Amino acid sequence: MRNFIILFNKEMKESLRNGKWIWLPIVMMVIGMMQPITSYYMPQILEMAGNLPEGAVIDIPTPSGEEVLIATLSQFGTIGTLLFVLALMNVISQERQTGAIVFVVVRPVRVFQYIVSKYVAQLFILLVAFAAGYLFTWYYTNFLFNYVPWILMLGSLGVYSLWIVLLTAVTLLFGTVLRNSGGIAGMSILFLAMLSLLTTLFPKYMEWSPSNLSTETSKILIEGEWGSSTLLVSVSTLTLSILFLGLAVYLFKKLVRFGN
Amino acid sequence: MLVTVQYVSKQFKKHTAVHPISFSIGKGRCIALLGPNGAGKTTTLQMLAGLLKPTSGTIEFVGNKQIDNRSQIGFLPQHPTFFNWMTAQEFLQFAGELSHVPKKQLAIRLKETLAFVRLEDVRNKKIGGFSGGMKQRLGLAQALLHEPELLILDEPVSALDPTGRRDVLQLLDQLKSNMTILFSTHILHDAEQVCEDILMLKDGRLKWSGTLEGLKKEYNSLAIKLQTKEPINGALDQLDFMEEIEYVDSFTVKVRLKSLANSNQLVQTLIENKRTLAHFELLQDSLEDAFMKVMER
Amino acid sequence: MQTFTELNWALIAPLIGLQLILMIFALVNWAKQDETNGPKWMWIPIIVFVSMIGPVAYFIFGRKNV
Repeated sequence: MRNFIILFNKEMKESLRNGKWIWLPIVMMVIGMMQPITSYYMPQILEMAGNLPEGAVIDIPTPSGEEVLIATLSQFGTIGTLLFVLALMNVISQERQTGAIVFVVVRPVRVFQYIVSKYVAQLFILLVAFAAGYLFTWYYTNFLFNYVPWILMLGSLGVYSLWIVLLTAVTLLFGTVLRNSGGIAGMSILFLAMLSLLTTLFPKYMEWSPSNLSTETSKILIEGEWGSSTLLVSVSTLTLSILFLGLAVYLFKKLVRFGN
Repeated sequence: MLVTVQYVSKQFKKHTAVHPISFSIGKGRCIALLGPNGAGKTTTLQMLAGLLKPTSGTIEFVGNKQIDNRSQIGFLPQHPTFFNWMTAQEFLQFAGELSHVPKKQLAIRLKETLAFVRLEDVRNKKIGGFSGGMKQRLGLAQALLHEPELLILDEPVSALDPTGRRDVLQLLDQLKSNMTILFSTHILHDAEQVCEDILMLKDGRLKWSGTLEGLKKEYNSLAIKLQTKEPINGALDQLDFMEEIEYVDSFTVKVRLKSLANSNQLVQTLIENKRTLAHFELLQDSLEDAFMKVMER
Repeated sequence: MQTFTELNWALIAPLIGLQLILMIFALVNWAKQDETNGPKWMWIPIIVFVSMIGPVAYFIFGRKNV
């Protein structure tokens, strides 16, 4: 536990120094605000952009607040995922590339403590950034559209956070297997994309897939309920994340060499 | 005895970096691990430091049956790279905490160690801006911060300029009295300056292990070169302490004695045989000669 | 241009403000670096003119071993 806290604090300090603690939440907040604002001004934007024939009437139904939240989460699912994977790709590989990791592993530190401290620290930063962004979305949505009950907002936030739990585990796993940052980011994105693709192609066999988390959050927001499918997807996502972390620890012990 | 190494070897895929080697490290000794580049020095040290698992054999710390000996070891890698965003003080604090040095003691050790490696003036500067020599000294500081039983240093002076080299060697000399030191180098002179024991490694095989004195003694041929004004004409041939005799010309001879103590008798015999001694020289082998002999063995 | 007058600036101001903060933060960080990936000056136009993506690209790809 002591080692874990020391290593966790070091990650926090590092993320403060390199600015991750600042730029990541700001970017998420901007993305979070953008969606409700562009939805709100969509008619004007279209009017300005299109060469509409004289007298054409633009008639787009105004989305509900819940729909705006869903659209934002889908934004987070694409741009956010990409951003998070890029923000995580150097977490282990950089220390390996420079060799600074040697100063940690020559001390009585267990691989498990090293990996898990990094995982928890990075996940914490990402979740705070995500929550900050989503809270802004909620605030703007309530203001511009209609009030979405806070319990629904919290429910969707919680369930969607599991996606971040998974993507952090995936990126750390590739971070222990590969040395090259680009490779780590590329493989992580590819893996997550494949998961989504398979889920859309074979919905029958992929009911457990973490990619269904976005469907579950939509269900929560629109229908205001979470059923057994939510539980299934949540449990399988958590299980997969733990599995990937365990695999990362195992492979780290097996593959990672220090020095020449 | 502090560490006993038995039949330890390391295989990387098809390449054998270290063939089974056995040696022991005496408590309080200073040992130099000598050998050319690629001899397996770094691999050996990394196995001792717990960074690499030996393919076979055991490394045992006497009085500690635990498998994890890392808390008793201080290690300085060959090319130390740090967390550049930390200051020297922050890095040592981090290192000390990870080595479980109690808080109060760590504060004291931090001051002592920073002063010892003469980095107290730059302790609040970012490591990213440090010179090679400063980084090497910081590396030394993190290795000895937790007062380990065994200090393992991989080529601590190779990358340094002459001043930095002298600095680090002097620091090692001061540390000798407090801890057991094992360091690798490919330069014999560095070993000679601070250490009493040496291990010689070549092509992953242990060529020699023992004291420097022992090496000198074992490989000293005790040769003497003599020159006389008159031709020698076999005046020395019947001496019973003579091991070898080699005539360079009729006035000059190189002899090898069973013991150097016989050299007086040698001179006496010459005088008794009415030869005037023109030149007398002890042809002592230098340490380099001994080193070369061992390595080519 | 009539539509712009209808913009609620109180709504947009935080959006612009946050992007400005991000840009300034990136510039301050940039100024403190000795070296960047790619020529150092190249990052200025990227940070300043490519809104949001510029500073983010700088933070992810621009900096050397920090």
